[in-house]
Amino acid sequence: MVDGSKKLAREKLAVAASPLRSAIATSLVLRPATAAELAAELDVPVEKVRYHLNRMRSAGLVDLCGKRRNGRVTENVYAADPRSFLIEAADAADLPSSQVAYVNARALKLMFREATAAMRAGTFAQRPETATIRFPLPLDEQGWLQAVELHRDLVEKIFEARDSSLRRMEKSGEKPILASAFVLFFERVTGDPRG
Amino acid sequence: MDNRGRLRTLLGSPLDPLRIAVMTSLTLRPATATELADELGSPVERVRYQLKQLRQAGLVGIRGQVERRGAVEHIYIAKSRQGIYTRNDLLEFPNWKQQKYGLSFLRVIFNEALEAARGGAFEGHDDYSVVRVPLRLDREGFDEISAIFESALRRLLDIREECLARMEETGEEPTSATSILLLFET
Repeated sequence: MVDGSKKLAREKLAVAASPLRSAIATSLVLRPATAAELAAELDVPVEKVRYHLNRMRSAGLVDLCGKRRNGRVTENVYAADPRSFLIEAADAADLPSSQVAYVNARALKLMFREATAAMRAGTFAQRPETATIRFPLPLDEQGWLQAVELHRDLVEKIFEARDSSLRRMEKSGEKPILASAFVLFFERVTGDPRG
Repeated sequence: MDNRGRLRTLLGSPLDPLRIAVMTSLTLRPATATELADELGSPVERVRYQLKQLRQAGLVGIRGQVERRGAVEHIYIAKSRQGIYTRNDLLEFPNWKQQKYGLSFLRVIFNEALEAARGGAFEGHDDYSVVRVPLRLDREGFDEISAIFESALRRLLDIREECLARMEETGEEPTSATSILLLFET
């Protein structure tokens, strides 16, 4: 069991740190797809996609959710739940902290790239309901615990809203909005870390 | 100065990360120019220059004076809720400027997060959040998540007020943290 959880932790970090794996995970979180569809969308060889899909599947990050006929060929359809990719306390405990920090830095860079691309494309701020909040917080111990809980809660609420939306769209067939939500919370570090 | 002028002061060119850093520090607690210079690792003249700009823009005020090392120094403080940047602030500018300030803003906030990563904020514990959720939503879903963020912001404001009140009594030194919440169409 210890080996299994370590493998899962490593695989989660591998997804966060790799642009290609991150792109595969993002695609599948957005909607189920076959390896061929992913390969076409991401413009990479299908063998490469299959390799990463298999790894993510055996770690439990990606599920087989059905099959699709494509002419004579029957293809697997894969799906992913965003909850699977959350890096939990248990995961962090299993791996060197410097590795976790490195992966978070990579994930932040990917996020920055995505936000900047949306800003340049003009889609970032076009909806009035867009949220862009950056808020400095002076916290005592009690406040810190409350803030940590608030952010965890916030992420869970986003997942629930996503689930509801998917269910509605299955029935309504409404044209979807593609969006991204970032929830960042961290202790502020400035100047010389050596103090 | 109006909102537009204030935002221009903060994000306009040349964009100086020190200006944002000074602003952020003062939002967290009042400080003198010397204290800020020590905290941010910057020459005090540069800090004083930024304080002057921020005062002129009405973002920073003076709360009092203190004698330190034989000299009298002003204690600076951020004016009320400045320090929270929302999309509505950006809307006051023409489109092309929105993008320019928007990009500056993104650069500033992600640099802050990366600096925290380099400084060890993500090591040895799990009291942080670095979460990205790719979304495919209907209109109602987008509105719903937007409302969730609004509600989180209000709660964060409450938490901050409560912390400041408690720390005023106990004299406890605050831990500085940052919350960044983004929801956007890709």
